Amino acid sequence: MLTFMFAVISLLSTGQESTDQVYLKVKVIGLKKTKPFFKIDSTMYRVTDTVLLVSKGKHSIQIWSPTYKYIDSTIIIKKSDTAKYTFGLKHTKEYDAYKWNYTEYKRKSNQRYLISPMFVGMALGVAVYSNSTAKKHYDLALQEKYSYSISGSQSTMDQYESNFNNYNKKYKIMKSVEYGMYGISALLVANYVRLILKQKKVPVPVYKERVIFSKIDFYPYRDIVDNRWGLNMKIKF
Amino acid sequence: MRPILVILFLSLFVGACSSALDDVKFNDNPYDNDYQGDRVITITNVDTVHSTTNGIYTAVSYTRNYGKSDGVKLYRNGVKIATNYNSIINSDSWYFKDITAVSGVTYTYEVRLYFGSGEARSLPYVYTTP
Repeated sequence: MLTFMFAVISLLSTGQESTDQVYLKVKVIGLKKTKPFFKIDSTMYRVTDTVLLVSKGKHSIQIWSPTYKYIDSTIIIKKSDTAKYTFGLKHTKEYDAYKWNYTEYKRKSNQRYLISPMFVGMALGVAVYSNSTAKKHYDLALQEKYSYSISGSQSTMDQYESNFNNYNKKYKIMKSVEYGMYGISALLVANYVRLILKQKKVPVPVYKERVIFSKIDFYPYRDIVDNRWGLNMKIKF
Repeated sequence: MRPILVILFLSLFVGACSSALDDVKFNDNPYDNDYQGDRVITITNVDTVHSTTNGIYTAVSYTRNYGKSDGVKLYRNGVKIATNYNSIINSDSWYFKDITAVSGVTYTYEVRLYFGSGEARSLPYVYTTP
């Protein structure tokens, strides 16, 4: 997963060719939520679109934004220069790995949380339908039995008995399906609980910005007034 | 899916059965050939009657205890000789008059409760006219 942010640095030639200074247009494309850190020589900016007045010569350019690779480059600005520098900011490997891991985590999490209940619902739906159908066959079987009881013809009695046996057979099948579906539902619920417990143990992927931590210096100091140790931090940027 | 789950599912399908209708038997209709209950019609007595109005006849008395019927038929030696229709008699205990019985002859009587084409038979009753 590669997401690019582009820092476009254009040297504008309008009106400043005669002096030792030129306008430097800085435009960062691709970042919507955060503003990147842009540093030219020793001055840091946090902008996405601006125009700077810089002197001709060699300049150090540094660009960084959280989750993106740090860019450290040098540009040489000459008189009447209209060059355009484009720096593509690419996510760090750690961030790409994190994004991948997090996507996989969400996919598995959704699968574990959603798929099983869907199957449980389907199994219960089939069980309820089977129950309804079985009851219908049960009633029809009893109706045939009643018709048999009040019949005075051997042929019709045999027919009613045969019909009863057919309905009884269908009733048993549907009851078996119903019980089977209840059993499947129970197993699916048990499996769902197992998956939830399993999912609870899966740690949520966390992105660690190693680049920024590597830039932090720690300065312990002694607080004489409170008689305790303290810690100062400084980011080298 | 794991094999153990498949085995469990199949076991549930095979093992799940319903016996709700298994107790329903088809031998409680007295008109059925495989009826196994008590007889619904019985010859209680056969006797020779001397009547001043009807002369001498053989009276075949019977009792029936089953409601659904069209009537009762009397058989003598396997041949139907009379019918009592429910539309004419309204009693569960009645009798036939056999006015053709000959003195000194042994007859086998049988009454049959009938309903449509179905018949429920009594035990045969052997009687010798005096």
